[in-house]
Amino acid sequence: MDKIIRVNLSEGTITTEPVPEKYRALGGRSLTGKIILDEVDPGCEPLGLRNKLVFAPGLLGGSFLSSSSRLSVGGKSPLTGGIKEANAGGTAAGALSKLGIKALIIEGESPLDYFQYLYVDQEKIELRPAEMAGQGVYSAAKLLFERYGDKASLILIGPGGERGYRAAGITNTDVQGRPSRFLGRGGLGAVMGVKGLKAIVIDPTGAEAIDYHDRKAFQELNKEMVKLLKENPVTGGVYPKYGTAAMATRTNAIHALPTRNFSAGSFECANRIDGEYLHYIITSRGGAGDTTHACMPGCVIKCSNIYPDAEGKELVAPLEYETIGLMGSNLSIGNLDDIARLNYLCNDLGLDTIEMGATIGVAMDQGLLTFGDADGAAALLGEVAEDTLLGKVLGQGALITGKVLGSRRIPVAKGQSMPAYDPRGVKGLGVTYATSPMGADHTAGNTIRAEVDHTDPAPQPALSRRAQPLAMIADFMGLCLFVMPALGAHLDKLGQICEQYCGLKISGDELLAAAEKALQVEREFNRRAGLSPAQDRLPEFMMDEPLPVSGSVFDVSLDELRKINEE
Amino acid sequence: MQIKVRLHDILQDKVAACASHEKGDFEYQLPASAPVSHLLKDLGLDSRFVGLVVVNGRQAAKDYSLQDGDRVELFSPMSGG
Repeated sequence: MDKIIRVNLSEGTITTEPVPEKYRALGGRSLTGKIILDEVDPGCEPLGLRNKLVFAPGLLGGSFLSSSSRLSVGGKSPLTGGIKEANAGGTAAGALSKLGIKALIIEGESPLDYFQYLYVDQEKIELRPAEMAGQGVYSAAKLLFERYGDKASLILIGPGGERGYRAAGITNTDVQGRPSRFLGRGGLGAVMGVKGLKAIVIDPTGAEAIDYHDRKAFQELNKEMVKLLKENPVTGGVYPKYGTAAMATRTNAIHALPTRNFSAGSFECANRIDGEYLHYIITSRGGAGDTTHACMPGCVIKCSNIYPDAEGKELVAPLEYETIGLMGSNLSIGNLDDIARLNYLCNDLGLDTIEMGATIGVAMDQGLLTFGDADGAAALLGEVAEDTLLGKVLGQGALITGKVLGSRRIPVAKGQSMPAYDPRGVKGLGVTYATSPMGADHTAGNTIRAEVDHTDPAPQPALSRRAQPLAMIADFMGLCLFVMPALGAHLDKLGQICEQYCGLKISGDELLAAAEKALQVEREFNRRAGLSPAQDRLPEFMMDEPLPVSGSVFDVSLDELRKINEE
Repeated sequence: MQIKVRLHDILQDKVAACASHEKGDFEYQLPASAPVSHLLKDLGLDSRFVGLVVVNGRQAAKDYSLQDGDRVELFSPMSGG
């Protein structure tokens, strides 16, 4: 990966630049973060022409190491007001890597009165009019595949992003061409939308094979890595069979499953939305259903799924835990078919299901709808689709919706909605929500796997402090976080395989040091953007309102939280 | 003493006794005050494969001493969703 592509939408120019030496050892989240720090005015309006979007595969992007094809996107977030990185599996990172593209920088703002899309192949990079603007991601993707064939990878936004809704994400296509692998968080779909860019089409056809630094050694170590993944109880156990949905049983059991706008940590219908039931539904309905699906080429974990309707026809793929938690229990909806339908609607609009689940939860809590009203929730998404006044408010996410509706129970940290772990039940992740440069983000340092009492405040700061750089390592290597239970204890091997792939010599300790440095880069951007330790906290209702069954409040002290970013 | 056991998802596949029990639910005899780890050993469950223990609706450690009538839920580890 030897070039950086810069697309200036204000000028309509596209330039190819060599990779500066200072960026060579960076990838994925560490590269998007550094470019944002170097190039973006930290005080800029996130939805303005001075913000930039940076796409980057990880250091291992394009290799065939399992689970290494995550695509990162970075920018200043319209939700948090700070730096943001979101990432997803899918095919786009591999396609960019095959074309030798280490980063794709989108800057400026188009003066045209129509949307464009960017076309990238081995010979040309062009902006073209996007006549599919206004369409949902499913029909827009269909049109682009008809035009460019199924070898292409697509990155695209839905109508939500086009309208600058802060709940909008960016999606990319999976191996079968579904536009449902979301780089969902932080409202970066809105950043893409205000720039006037609907999609990026990447066709790697004809690209030369990637030149490995030492292919033979890579293949040998890759075999060892696959063995570690398959033998590990996490990566080779529950994920392949039950997928992420299995988390619902666990969080429900420890009273951390968001329920009715984070007012209870356990849900009476949890056993109708959990991994076992999802598995039962998919296998009993058959048809297009699949319990064990890979979101990216070559993944051996295969935690994803295809969820069919009662006739066996595909309803949505994937149906994941975060959506089940936010659009299910958090709305008191105990029916997977309803959750799948809401998931599809959000996907098509290009909206983050976490942000929208939290938003509808707040709306229900404020009496706009009754908890459990799945048709009502779908109707609210209809308001968003129709761009009504109510829809415009909801599309801005939970914080703005909550303020408009007068809520004092808005489950956000730094303006971004919490994922499907109530921080009163998993306090280590609560520390991460409060202190990560990313805001409330379960991928920035999840502590759920630690064998500690998750409600005891004492061990949590240290757990979060350890988890945050490990998450960063996965994010800059382009690895799915789910490999870390198996490979996180083998950082030296990860360093070796990185060297065998791209020639970058790096030890396990150096990986950790690079992760710390990348976190410092993010904190520095946030500091310059005006964020301060005063924002490293959770909403007061979580500090004051005990969860009904466990009696737990979020009681990690503000002093402890402040220390996380001072170390 | 007698306890109730519920094995969740993947753990049902790891304990042969589960084949005859609906959803991994069964009753089990243990010596008085035996710790959870005793139950794991009895069931032939590698401790690495059990990441979360819940007793009577509360998270518990593997050295927790069980009491007659306790309901024990066992989960394999997961790292996120």
